[in-house]
Amino acid sequence: MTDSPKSGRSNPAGELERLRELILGDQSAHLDALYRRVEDPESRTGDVAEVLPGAMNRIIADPVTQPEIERPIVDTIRGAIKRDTESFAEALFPVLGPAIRLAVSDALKSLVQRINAALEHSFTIKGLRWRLEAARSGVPFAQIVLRETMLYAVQEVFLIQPHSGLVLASARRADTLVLDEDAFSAMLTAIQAFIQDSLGMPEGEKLRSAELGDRSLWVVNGPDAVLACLVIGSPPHEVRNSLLDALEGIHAHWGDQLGLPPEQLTNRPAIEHVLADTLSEEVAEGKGGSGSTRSFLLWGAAGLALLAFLAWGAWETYQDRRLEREIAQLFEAQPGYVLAAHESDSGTLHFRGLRDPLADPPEALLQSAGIGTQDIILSFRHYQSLEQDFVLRRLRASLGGESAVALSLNGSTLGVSGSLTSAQYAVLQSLPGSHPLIVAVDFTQVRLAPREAEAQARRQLNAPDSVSISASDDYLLVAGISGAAWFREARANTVPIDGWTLDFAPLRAELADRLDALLSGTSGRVLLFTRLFDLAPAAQSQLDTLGREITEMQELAAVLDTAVAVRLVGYTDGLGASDRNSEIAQGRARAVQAELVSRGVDPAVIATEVGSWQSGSEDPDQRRVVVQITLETTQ
Amino acid sequence: MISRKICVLGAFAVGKTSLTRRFVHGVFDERYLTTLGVKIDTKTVKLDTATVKLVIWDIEGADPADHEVQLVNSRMKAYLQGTDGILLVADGTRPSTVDVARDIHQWLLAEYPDVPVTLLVNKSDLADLWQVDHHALDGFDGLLQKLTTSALSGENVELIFFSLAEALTKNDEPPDGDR
Repeated sequence: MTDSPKSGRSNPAGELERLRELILGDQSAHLDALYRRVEDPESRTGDVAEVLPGAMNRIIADPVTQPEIERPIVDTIRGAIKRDTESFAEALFPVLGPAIRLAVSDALKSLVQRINAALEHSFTIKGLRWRLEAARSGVPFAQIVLRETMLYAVQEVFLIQPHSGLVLASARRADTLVLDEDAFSAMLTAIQAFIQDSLGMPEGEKLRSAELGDRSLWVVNGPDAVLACLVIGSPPHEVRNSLLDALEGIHAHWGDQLGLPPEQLTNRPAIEHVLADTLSEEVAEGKGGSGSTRSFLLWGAAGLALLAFLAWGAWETYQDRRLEREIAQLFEAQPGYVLAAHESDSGTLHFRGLRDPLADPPEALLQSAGIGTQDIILSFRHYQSLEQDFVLRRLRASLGGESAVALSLNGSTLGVSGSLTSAQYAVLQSLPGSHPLIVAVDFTQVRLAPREAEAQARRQLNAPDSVSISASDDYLLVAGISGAAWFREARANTVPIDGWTLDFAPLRAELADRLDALLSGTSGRVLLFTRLFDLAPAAQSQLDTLGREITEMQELAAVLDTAVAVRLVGYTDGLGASDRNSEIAQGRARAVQAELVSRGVDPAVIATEVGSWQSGSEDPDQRRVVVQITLETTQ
Repeated sequence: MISRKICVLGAFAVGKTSLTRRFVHGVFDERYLTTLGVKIDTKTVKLDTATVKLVIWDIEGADPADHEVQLVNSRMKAYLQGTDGILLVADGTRPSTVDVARDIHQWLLAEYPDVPVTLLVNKSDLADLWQVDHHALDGFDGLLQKLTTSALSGENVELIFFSLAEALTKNDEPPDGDR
């Protein structure tokens, strides 16, 4: 080392430089450059600009650091605006103009819609009600109309497959009339296709809404499903946004199922729940303060009371009208009544008209229909009804209550059937010409009344008192007892009794009984002889009786289609020769025959014969003739 | 309940609307047919296995005599989208309508190969005027059914809708289409 400490002290800066070179080596040049960069403002600015965007992004993204940077920026801007307002106004001018125009345009559009509604409602009952409210509350009419027209409701929502038009799910408000939603959505789909095709619109362009009156149809289109909504009123735009949100939500959750057949949706209730949430409505009245709410409640109560009163009045009137109509229909439908007028006056019902006395009284009619007569005035004057039922009832009455005549009306011809007395016949015969309705009477089904027929038959047949004639059904029964001659004559009488048939069967039966009685009384009778051919003294009167009886039997047998055969069997006592006895017996029989013939008995019906006897003993009782009578059929 | 879309196609005046009217209770006025070119009716059919609501699109047909008219125009194509079944109707008294039906069927085979098609030869009540024999119906492949019908007497009308409803419910797979 050649440098002395003296020399070092003499040049300290040079030494220090040398020392630095020894320690840092070639790093020294870098340090110099760094110093220069830090000291140069230009260089530092470049460095900050390089990292600032990244740093800002990191600060803004960090919720802790963001407010720290926000505050000074806001303060700075605020201070700058205060200091130099004009510059900021100039800078914002090109932005403010279009923004304000846009907002005013939106507001005006809404205002025009509401003013249109106000004009529409100016001359309606609703409009008058709003005017009253404006006068009462001091709020301008236009403002009330604007408030009222804020009402809207989304009534029904359908989720529809876009091509098939089939309904996937739907929701509706409780008060909505239910449409055939499949038919509706299919028709909507068809109309959509029709419009698209007719106007040559591209596939993406879809029908968004259709309006008619205060109702509109909103269509929110999605890729796999369409939301169709029936809307009343003018909902705000947010409603459409909420519908869009619902459709997007449905696509997000169930998008893979929307193209399947509707019944394959796995969670339809959940979809319908989403749809039901879109059924919004807006009622403007709820926006008022507490004072106006009270007032509204008071007015509402008063209105309700008035409504209730009006409803009660209307109900009463309706009930009265209904009762009046019901009673009027009752009288109009009732035969024998002519209702001329009816009216309702202060709760009292009046009915005026005509009534046939044969018809039930009006009070009874009302009673049987379950209608009370309170507050009902009935004024019916008498008249004669020409309705068939009444004409016939009146005619029956004129024929007498017990009449067995059936009457019927065929147009203006009176049909009569059954039994008729001469007097009744005369009454009915006089009807054409005197009765207002009947121009002819048909008597073809008529016969003489029973009592008159019996009397006529008795006269015609010259019936003895022992014979009775009585009418039964269509027959005049001839009974009792008569001579055979009368029976024969009466039976041959062919003159008809008006509408009746003579029946002699009862009389004939009695005559047959009489014949049987005579037969059993006479047959076997014995006539005694004293000697040879001399009849006992009692025999003469016996022969008289026997002759009469046989004659009568002959007559009866003749009319009863039979014949009487008489056998006289002669007997002798057991003494004497047999031949002689036979002669005596035959002679006795012939003697009786001669006696009977002399009493008028037809000899042709009498036969004689010899009876057998026992010989050897004398028995005076065997000197006899026994009478045997039998009936023979003549045909 | 299951709902299915059915389209009724065929030439002009073959009786499509009469057949539909015979089967359904109309919801919309028939004027829609002339204005929109389609009329929509619904009918609920109760089968043994299911209840099916048929939404029937009665699509206005082209006049076969008018050669200017496109057989299946763009509007008809739009109406056909998403259909589950097709009733193709011809008029047994006009052979030209069978030709139209055959052309439409060819088009359907290409566009909707998986959709069941039933061919109906209508007006079977007009026996004296009938001009379509068995051979005239050749060239219809892959039909679900082929039937003669009469909107006047009602012959087979219920049957076709019930058969189609049955066919559409048996197929568990969703029909291939634009869904």
